[in-house]
Amino acid sequence: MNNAMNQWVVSHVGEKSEVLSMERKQRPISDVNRGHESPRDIGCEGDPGIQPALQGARFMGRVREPSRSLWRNVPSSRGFPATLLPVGRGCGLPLPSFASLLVLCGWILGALDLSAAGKKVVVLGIDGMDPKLLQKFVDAGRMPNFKALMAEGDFRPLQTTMPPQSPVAWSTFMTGMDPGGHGIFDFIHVDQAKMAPYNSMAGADPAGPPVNLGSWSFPTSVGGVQLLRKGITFWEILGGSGLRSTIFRMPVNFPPVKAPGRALAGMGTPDLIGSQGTFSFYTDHRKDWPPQVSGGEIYEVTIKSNRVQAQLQGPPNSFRRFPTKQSLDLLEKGRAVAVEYESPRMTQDFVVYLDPKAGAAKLVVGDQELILREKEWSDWVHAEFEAIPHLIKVSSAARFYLKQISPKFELYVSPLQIDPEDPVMPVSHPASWSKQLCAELGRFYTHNIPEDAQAFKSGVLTAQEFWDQMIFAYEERSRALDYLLTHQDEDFLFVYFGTVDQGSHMLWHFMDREHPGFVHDDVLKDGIAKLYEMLDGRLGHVREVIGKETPLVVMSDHGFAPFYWEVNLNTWLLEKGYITLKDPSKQESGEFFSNVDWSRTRAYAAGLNGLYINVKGREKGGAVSNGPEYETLLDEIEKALLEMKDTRNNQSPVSLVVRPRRDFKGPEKDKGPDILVGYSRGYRCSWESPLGSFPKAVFVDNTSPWSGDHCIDYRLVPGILVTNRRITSQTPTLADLTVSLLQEYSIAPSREMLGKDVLEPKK
Amino acid sequence: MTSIISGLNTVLTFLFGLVYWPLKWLGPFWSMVALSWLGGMFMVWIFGKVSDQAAIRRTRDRLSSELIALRLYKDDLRIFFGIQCQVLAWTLRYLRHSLGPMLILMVPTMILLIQLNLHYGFRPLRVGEQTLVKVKLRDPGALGRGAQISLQAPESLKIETQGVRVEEMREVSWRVRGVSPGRFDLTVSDGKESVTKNVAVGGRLEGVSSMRTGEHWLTSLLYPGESPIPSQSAIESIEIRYPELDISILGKSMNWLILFLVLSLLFGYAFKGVLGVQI
Ligand SMILES: [Zn+2]
Repeated sequence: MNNAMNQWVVSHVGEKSEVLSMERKQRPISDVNRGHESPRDIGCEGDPGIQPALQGARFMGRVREPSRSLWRNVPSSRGFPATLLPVGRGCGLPLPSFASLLVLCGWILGALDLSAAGKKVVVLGIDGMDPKLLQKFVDAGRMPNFKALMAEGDFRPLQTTMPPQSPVAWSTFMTGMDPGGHGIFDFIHVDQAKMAPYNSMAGADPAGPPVNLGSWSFPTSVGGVQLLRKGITFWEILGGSGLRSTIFRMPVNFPPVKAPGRALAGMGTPDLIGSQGTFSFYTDHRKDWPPQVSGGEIYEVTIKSNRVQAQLQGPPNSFRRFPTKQSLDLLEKGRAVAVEYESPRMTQDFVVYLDPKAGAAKLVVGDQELILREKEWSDWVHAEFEAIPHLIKVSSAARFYLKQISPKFELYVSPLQIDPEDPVMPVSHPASWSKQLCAELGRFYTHNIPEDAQAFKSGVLTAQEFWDQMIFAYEERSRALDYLLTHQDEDFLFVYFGTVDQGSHMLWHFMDREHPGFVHDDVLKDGIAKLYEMLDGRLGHVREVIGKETPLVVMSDHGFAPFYWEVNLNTWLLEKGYITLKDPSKQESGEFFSNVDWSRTRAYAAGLNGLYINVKGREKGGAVSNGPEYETLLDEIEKALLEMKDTRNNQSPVSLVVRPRRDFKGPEKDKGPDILVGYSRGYRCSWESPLGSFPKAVFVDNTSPWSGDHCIDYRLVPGILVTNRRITSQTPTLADLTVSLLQEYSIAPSREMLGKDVLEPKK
Repeated sequence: MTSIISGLNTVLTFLFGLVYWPLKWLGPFWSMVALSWLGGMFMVWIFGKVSDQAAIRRTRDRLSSELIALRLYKDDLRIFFGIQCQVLAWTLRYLRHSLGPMLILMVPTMILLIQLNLHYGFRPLRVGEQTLVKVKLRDPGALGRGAQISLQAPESLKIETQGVRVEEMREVSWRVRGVSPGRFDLTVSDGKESVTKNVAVGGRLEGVSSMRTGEHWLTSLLYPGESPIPSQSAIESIEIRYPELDISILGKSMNWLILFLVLSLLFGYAFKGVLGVQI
């Protein structure tokens, strides 16, 4: 909205300012704008009576959420002019006079404009934006909007967490605590009692015990999902003071915490089958591919009369159960066993009709038909999986990419999404918000990390195909940002972009000639810079919409470094005698430590930075006693890690060792790894080591497209903090930023928060 | 036959249009409410005309008195079962009186539903939106023998792909995208003859004809929006896969068929007294 409209709003709303200021006095927070009331607070959902007044503002009727009453200090009317308040509940808006209708119009228009007077805070979270690269591109004149924001306010590297992994760093930003407080130490944690890895961000609550009827199975209660991060987020604290937030795609927020306002879950949200993103690849040349690829499944198909019949593989159908193959085999052999059952996966058939001459194919998925040319991406295609015919269906969406028609048939299908239009799991808060976003913006990626780096890494997508897919995801986010900016009626807005992070991971080897996997590509060598430029464009738009008065923070969770060399940490532990194998001749085979003799193993590495002592009573096959033995061993390994040498180039691959129990604060600090390994620039944990494997060499050149990384010594990969405020600290941290955001609303941090206010109040 | 169907379609569409035209300005939902009211009244009125109202009244009266008796004699089992038989007999008689008229009612109902499908089934393509144009040929072997089917469209509709040929379905499909709003014709040609099909991009949110067909006189009757394709044409049908028209109120979208059936039944039942009709 332009300034003229603002002034109109101000002059016409002016008559009601007394009512407003009275309401303001009830609020504990100074200078919080009451003019940005959400239209939802009228309490009417889509009341046709008020629709005409709202049309220009593209009002989406929303219901006041019941959770609202749980929060302290929430003024009941939130400052809406008393004359316009509905009587009682429901949609009984009293017939307003013409004057009050005008005021209502102005009010709502004003509510949708961030540049109207008053305090709102906007935070753009750009995963993986690196301060050195940012400065380089700014100096090169490629990022004028960042340059302008830096000139207006300040720019500092933002100290990240140890380990500087996204889930860890974002959790610290949210809660103001270190991993000892929020309990997220890595992407992957280890269940030590079972010696099994699991996703650190979210877990499943099992359904109730089932009632089985033959091949049918009916759970007695519904299962659920659980956010594993501990601690209270800053927007919950804002909510406690009656402030509402829009939190768009914040990582480690699945299922989203229920705070006043709205939230869409981000990194850590599973795909429909419960994984962190599993693509499917259909080809008639299966043998060209390895039996297994990370992050995806490859299916063999046959072409008959230019027709391919295949299936999308959905989640297991928990209403059905069949004996496992193993059980059947044993039964057949006459060995009495307790029969084990498994649930078959639900499927959705699809057919591809190929026309090689036309260079295109027709796809039929359910009742949808679409045509794709070779090397073309589809938009979102709706897919449905039937659990109980005609009764229970699971809705999903996927994108198809027709990579090749002939001589080989190759079709990529994105991870099956939890359909935001009909979500089977809570991807948003309130649950209906993802549906509303869908109505405005169309379907969108909901799972973990939309950019399919795994498909690129495994060779299923080329660099250019990955780029196209990444840009599609970026544009979805970008449209969402535009929408949220113009429909922002909350007190706080956070929008997350993951493009720079994934781009820096996958495109580093195009810009770095020293990289062992360097590839010359005239276009992609500038890829990372282009992504930075794109974000600069977005920042320009944000600044234009919100105006200079609105506090604006652009931040990232960590920076980036090249990933030249892989460190097989478990192999190093093996060589140092901390691990003993059952069968040393089979060192390179076996999954997740299956070849490890635990009785003679003292330490093992799991996750990207984690190292664990094999403690008696904690680990399944623990061998080290707690107490002096444990402490001595830790000291010994810490020293050995810091003395580690890569004899190929005489470098020290490890520059930092952090011991959570010693170095972190909070009740969770005993629950993570015993040591966090901080690698030097250029090094990172290998691909195999976190999976409990033992390749022969300790140090290996990294030639994978996954060529940039940040899971190293946190001091080497700070994030960025750019804001239109002055930054009072030379070394602000993520935890400081949490406290500073609360201070913007004059809200004191909680006792558990570790940071301090580093933003100078605007004069 | 084609010309009879064509004439019939024209007349029925015209007559429906007379009723629909003043209502369409209400938007999809409220015009559907109005049509359901009119439809419900119309059905009840026809029922009144084609049924033996006196017989139905007699049967219903008798049935209700038997039901009262049933309650009175519920303690005397012998009489109770006797009355039960009477209830059954009168119920059957009631069904006999209403079944015939119901069958007759099927005809106007079908006509109404066909017209409603034309006006509420699908909406025009939005500018920028893509969909498929599907052409079906009569001769199952034509594509195998290399028949060249082409599609021409005005600039308002961009043809984005070559025709994808699916021999086993006698079908050629193209992907098209709306470029600018308008109502215009597509031309499909097999080199010898051309068949046109109208297309709607943008403009008012209203029903559009999704299919022009010459498959069979019955299918032609189902798609009254355009004249049937002549039976001697090599092209059997042309379909545009328009998006469904979303009838929504208070953010809830609903299927037009369910909405019409529920509303017309409710209206019909509520207004039967006004029309003096016994159901
Ligand atoms: Zn990150």
